[in-house]
Amino acid sequence: MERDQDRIQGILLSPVDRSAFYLGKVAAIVIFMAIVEGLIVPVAVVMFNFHFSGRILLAILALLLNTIGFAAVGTLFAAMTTCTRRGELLLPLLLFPAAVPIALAAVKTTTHILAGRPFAAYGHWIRMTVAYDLIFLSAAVLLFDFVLED
Amino acid sequence: MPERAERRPLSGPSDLAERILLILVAVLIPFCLHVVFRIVPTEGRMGVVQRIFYFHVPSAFAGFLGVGLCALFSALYLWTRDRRIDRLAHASAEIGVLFFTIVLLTGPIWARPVWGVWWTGEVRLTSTLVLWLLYAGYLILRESAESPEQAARFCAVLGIVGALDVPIIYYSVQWWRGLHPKVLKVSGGQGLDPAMGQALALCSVTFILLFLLLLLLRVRVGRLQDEVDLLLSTAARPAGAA
Repeated sequence: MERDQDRIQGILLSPVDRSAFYLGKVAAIVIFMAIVEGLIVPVAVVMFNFHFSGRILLAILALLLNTIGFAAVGTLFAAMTTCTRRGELLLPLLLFPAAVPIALAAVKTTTHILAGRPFAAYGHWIRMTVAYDLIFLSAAVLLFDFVLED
Repeated sequence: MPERAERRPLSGPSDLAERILLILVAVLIPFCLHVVFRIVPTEGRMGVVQRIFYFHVPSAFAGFLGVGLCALFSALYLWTRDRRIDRLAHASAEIGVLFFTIVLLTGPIWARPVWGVWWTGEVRLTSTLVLWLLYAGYLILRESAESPEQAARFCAVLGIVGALDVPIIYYSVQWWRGLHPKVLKVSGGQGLDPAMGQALALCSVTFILLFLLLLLLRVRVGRLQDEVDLLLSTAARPAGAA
């Protein structure tokens, strides 16, 4: 988005740490994705006539954790791919394999939570999601400087 | 540029290593074939097709070596910004993809008679395919960048992120139901026959040497490519403008 009309130059010139710029982007994307999820999930519940018995708040929390992981990697990759010649085409190509663990975890945790199973059934998936979020957020914070060099 | 042409056939340490590796690999590969096809006992239940195991597993080792080296050289590149280290990272990724391609091709050949299917949704298979896709993406990213410097930088970032992703991808293996044989992790009595273990070790060493040989060759090709690019860019410029 910022590549349009060189707006990114303004951001890069501002006296803000690059990692703050990155975390801001991630936050914006998480909020945007959360809004979309807030629209899609109820529609899916209605369309598939889904009866859930588990704790909904916990499911939302798990969904949010997965969204953060997805946005963390997605933002880093998007910052790189938009500068390349294949741009938009390249992002899903890179993001899909990198985000596979988070997608698996999202499916497993929400399935178990909404089926009302005990924490032991999905606790390790949540731990993996949290680890994924932390690893890639911190890796991206460290690496984002290198992406925005030019 | 005659003096440049004269310096070309230099015998640096990497040329020497290349020659030694070439000889070792040329001797070891026929020896491996001999051991795998004539010495190692045929596996009881699976029969002859089990012998592909001696190429499948060492290829996976070499592939992982490629991914690991790629991450290492990527980090080193971001630190030093040395073009030579970037060539090493690129070569590691490319040859890693090559060996993972071998893994993904030999796997189904074995799985068809033993499992009855070419491919299943089993997680070890899926995660290897995902890994392959990730590093295929790495190679495409490298081709798509706007300058060699940008390619090196972006690929270094991706090389590090990708290597961080590998253990996470593989963790899911243990949590999903697994069908893939865990030959190397058996702690009870039903592990590998000693002769099979020795053959596997021999083939693994050979494949890793083959990996290193290909790595050196690929790095040399990369160096020559850089030189060609440099010459082309200077030749394209009008005379005197440089």
